Amino acid sequence: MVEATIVVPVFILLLISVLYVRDQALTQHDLEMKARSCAWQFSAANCDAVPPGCEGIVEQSTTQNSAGQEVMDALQGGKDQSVKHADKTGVVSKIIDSLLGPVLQAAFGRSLDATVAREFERPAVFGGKTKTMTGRYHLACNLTPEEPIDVAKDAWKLFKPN
Amino acid sequence: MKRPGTVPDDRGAVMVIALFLAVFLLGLLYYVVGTTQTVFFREHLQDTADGAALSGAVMHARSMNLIVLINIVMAALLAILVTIKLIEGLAIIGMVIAAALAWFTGGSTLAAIPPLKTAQADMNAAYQQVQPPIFAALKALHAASDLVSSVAPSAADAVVLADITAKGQPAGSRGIASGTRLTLPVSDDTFPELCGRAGKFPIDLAKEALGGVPGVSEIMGALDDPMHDMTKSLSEWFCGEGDDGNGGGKGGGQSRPPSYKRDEKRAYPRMDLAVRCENEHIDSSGSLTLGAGNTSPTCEESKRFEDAALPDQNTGRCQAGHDCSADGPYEQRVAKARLDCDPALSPRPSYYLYLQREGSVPYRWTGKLWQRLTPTFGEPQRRETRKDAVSNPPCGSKLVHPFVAEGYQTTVRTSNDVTEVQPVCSKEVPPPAPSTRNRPEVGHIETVPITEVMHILGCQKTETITVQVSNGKTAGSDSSSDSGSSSNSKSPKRVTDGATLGDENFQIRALIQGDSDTLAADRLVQLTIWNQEEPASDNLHVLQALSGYSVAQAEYFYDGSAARGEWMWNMKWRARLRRFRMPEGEAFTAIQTAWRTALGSGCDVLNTLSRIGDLVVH
Repeated sequence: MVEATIVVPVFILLLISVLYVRDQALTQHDLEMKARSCAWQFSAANCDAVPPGCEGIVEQSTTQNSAGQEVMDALQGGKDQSVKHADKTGVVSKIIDSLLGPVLQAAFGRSLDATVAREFERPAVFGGKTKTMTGRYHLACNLTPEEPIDVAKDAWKLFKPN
Repeated sequence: MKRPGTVPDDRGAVMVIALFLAVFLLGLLYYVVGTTQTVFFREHLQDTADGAALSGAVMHARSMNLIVLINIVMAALLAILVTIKLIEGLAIIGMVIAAALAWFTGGSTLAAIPPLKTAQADMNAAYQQVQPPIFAALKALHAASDLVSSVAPSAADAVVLADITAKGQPAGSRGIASGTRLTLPVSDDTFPELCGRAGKFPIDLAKEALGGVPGVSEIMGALDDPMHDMTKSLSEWFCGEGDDGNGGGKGGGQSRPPSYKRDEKRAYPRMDLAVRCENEHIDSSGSLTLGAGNTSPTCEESKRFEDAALPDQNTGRCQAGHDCSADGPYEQRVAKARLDCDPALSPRPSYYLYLQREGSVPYRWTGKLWQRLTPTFGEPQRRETRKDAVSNPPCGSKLVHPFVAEGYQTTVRTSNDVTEVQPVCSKEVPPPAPSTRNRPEVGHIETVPITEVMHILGCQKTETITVQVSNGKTAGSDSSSDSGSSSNSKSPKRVTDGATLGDENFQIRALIQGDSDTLAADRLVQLTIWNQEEPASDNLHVLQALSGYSVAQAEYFYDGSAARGEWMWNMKWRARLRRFRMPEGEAFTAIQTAWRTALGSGCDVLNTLSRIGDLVVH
């Protein structure tokens, strides 16, 4: 009887621990599955339309990639070097900047972050309360086909001979 | 009647069993935690690899779309000249018709000739006026597309690397996503082709503007191809001269080849053969002209040497079955590594892989001083510094804050005896001189610990390199090899000849390395083989070596059914994940070189991966 009072609680504690670890792992797995699924769906749509069921989970990453900035600088430097001798009026530079600038800006560093958080209840024997569990996923935004006719129209509008 | 003392007392017996059971259950719980941790570790590593591969492919696809955009802008600009010439041509035709009809109309149509002549002259003047800036713009755009083509792959590497460092899981992971090419698979198209595309633009714009008028769309659609063919075949009249020979000419000014700088992580040691191999692929301008892989005899020899010299992935020592003599490849490599990885050099290495051994040194008291006796050492262990940050070196001067010991011995040995190694540095504190009161007896032995860095196996440095981009022939570009390109400084780009969608030219492979040594499951396994040798199974070593790595593959592709000629005229390049396949031939060499360079010379995952088929059946 005395043994039972010691052994039974210990075994119950161990059982609760195993169940706790299992539940925690399953919850974590579930959260990461959700984050992964939303991230890939959002990425496939070029990060333009939030897929159903993923509201508040996915968003475009706002952190500026330093490597992307370096590439931008290199391209800018290369362009300046290329047009330096030919472009005395600055019109060529204006055309390239106006047309390619926004595209170059968008070309590097467009990515998304998916974050799913859920409250997970601790068993009372471990102090109770809740613990916030998070699943995260980071991915680059894929591309969608674009129609180039608008670009061409812009080119015509920009270029006005003197 | 029972006598006292003979009654069996079994109180507490269950307790013993329960104690064993509790320990067993506790071990089981630890095992569950360890397994969960390992599953998440593998999942995170694979997620990071998938993300890195896709990110690399997306960067390439974006760059292809950017070149498409540049092509379109070039055609749109040239369309201005084509339109002016078209009006001028119509004026000339009008004058000819008016002159021809004059015979029938008694000269009344001649009245139309002066205004047509004025219109033709005005158009000609406008053409002369706008041609120089348009040509200058074309040259700048051509140079920009050259730049994009050569910058994109390394930019993709850099962006992916930064992404892995910032967002990669598990924390501290590092990796690379690379393709087999140094540039995008594009080369120069012809100027007449650009002129032909420019000829379609007025038609396309008219179609767009008059899209609502019944029948116009069909008529314009029917004019599309004839207009393209006409302007292409009469490109000299419509678009002016195509090639100005030296990049100067009417367009005004010269389009000088741009260059850019980038930081690159390079693995050391760099053996002379590897340097010679690389030099064979550098042209007079300093550009790398390496394509998918190195195939020269020097490069083949270099590859054989590297394979023979590579330290064992687990022990860091000379691999069994290889030439381990004093002048063998392994020994040559470690000797070169000491020189190349000297922390006194600039730039200083940021990561070290080295061989360390620990032992003890007995000191005997002679009555006057401690006499050092021969030390004994345990098995040397392969060690590495932190991967996620710039680390201090294990050995070096006080200025570089070495964490093992001060000093850096650059010579491996003074004789031909392989076992006689001069450590790079060594840490040992001799016993203090005893006070006069507590002098030990003569012959007393005192033992102190010793740590020696036996060999530097490799290191990594971040170097700034300048990449020169030449017009139409960027690093690794296939421009020169394309037949019939008749390229010039104003031509658009096309997908290089020989590149087919889905082939190696468009594949990006990612390798991610995480630190699996900290996993609880591993510690549990180590616990179970307490004080015992690990099983000497070759297959086990292969699996162990791969436990901290994940690989993934993605590709960029043209998402449409248009013919090859249209691929660089529609912004439909996208990326997608693919099942990982082992690269073959030159692609294998190229990927292996990129991975070795990025993750250190000791990392030869690709060779190990190629053996996975022997162990796992899908």
